[in-house]
Amino acid sequence: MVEPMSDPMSDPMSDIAPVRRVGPAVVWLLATFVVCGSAGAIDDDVVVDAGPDEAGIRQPHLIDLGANFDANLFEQHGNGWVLRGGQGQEPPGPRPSPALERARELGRKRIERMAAACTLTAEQQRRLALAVESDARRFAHEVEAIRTSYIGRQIDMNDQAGQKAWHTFQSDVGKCRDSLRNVFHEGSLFAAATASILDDRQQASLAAEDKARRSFHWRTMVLETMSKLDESLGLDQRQYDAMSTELLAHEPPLRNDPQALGRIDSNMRRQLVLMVMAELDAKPLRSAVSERQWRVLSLQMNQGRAMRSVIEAQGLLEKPR
Amino acid sequence: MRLRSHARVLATLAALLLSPSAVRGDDPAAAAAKAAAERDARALGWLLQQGVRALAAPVNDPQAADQQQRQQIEQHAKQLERMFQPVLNSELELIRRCCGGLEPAARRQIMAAGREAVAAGARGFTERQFNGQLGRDDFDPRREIRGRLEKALEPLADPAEFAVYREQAERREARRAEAARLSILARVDRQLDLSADQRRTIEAELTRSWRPQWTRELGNRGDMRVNDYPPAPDDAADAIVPHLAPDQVAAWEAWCRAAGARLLGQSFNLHIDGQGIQQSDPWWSP
Repeated sequence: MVEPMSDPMSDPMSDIAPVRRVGPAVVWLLATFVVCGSAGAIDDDVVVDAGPDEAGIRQPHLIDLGANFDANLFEQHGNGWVLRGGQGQEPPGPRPSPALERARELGRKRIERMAAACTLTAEQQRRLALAVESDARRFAHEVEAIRTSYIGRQIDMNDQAGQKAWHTFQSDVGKCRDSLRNVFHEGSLFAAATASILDDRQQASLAAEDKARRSFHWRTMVLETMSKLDESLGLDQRQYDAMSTELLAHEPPLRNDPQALGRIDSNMRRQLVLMVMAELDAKPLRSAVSERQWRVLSLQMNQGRAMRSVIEAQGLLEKPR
Repeated sequence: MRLRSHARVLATLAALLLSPSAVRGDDPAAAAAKAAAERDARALGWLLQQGVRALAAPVNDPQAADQQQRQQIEQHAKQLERMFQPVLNSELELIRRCCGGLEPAARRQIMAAGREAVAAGARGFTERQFNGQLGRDDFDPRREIRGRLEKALEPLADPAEFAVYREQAERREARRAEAARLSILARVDRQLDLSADQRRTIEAELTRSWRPQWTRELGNRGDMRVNDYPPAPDDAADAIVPHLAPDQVAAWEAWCRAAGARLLGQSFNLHIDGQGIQQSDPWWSP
């Protein structure tokens, strides 16, 4: 059971109550301490140099790029950035490449998902696993080359050179994020192997499963967004139907692998739907709503339209062939 | 005030001890010591002044504290009214579409009721916020505003038009419920990779065993990360778990242990569904 947080404002005296309990003797003692202390403290502006660990805690503007690399590439959901202050600590001794581990894990899940959709034979699973291992190693090789250059490198965000280094770091991590998104995608050995290893029936099952998942997630995004529009515009059923039917009929090429779907938050889902809405023929939409509703809706659609580049940069849509 | 006199004595003593005459000699070290002593005397004086002020403050006045909190609630609620205004405007939009035959006098009455409803919604929200009770009961400012409007509308509207409005309001709730069910299901799918059949079965089960509180999934709580997981919709477990494969059940259990939504309690999204209709419709103020 979580207790409600006490509101300090409800007891304006709570933070000074201890003062009342201080006796006169303590006040005298305090005065003596201050007076005596002043006589010897001629120069009280001496800076005491903290040890290396304390420096990290007290100086959050010092950033260890090695520690931030893994956090931003593997732990950050969406396209945001985490910035962890202080010094990172690499565990002693050799450890497996986090890039290789992550890619293997994603590949394993891919195969499991395929097996559930189209029943793979043991031999097919073995060959797909080999393709996964090859792609994972290629990915890890690319990432480790960049990652290694940041290990143990500390920058000061308070100076210009440090900020410049942070921007370069963001660009490098961005490239690695892109590689991670596409590690088993078009151009990968896994994608090529899938096409050659699976028979026609399996390919058809897999395609049907993918299509069903894509449609399901699009329908969810449309209905979630429509529930927001319902609230903010006061729609009736006819207006709702006019908008949602058009949206459902214009399903975008969503990437429906768990990586892409897991990265998209509720705001991005809404923007994606508004982007699609903004690219529809405006006339039927315009005629379905009132002038007051259109003022709000057109504003939101414009925001959605402006989000296309962000949505594409996050790899939420399949690239046009 | 005995302690007030102590403070006075201390200030005098500090002034005596640290006065310029207390420092002898013209060398730089003595001058620096003199400057430090003066600074300390000022600091001590300030400290004593603050202490005396604190001591002079009322000991325990629950009435004053209560009044102060009431004032704070009033002020904060007034500010929140602007945020809740779009809720009123969008509901009035729906009412106008359904009850276009409302007489001017009736519209004015409904508008007045709407303003009161916004004030009541904002106040109810703020009181809970200040008392740490927000999200602990089923209070929802949207429902508060809509409920009061509906109450004002019923005796004033043509019964047939009012029935249309009621029907539309119910359909809106049904649409929200469907969106919430899909939202729950999509989160489970992202985490556990359901098959198309599993999605169909679980969606049907969520519909059959629907609970109104699941609409809170339509807020942005799904974006939270708890132990690196999104919140698991474990309050809908009965509709989900029977349809999972054994390895999915194991993954579900681990997910619930790490980030079960039951642990999060209720939440209310203060950000009321993005931009709403900001401008008042002159039709309501004939």
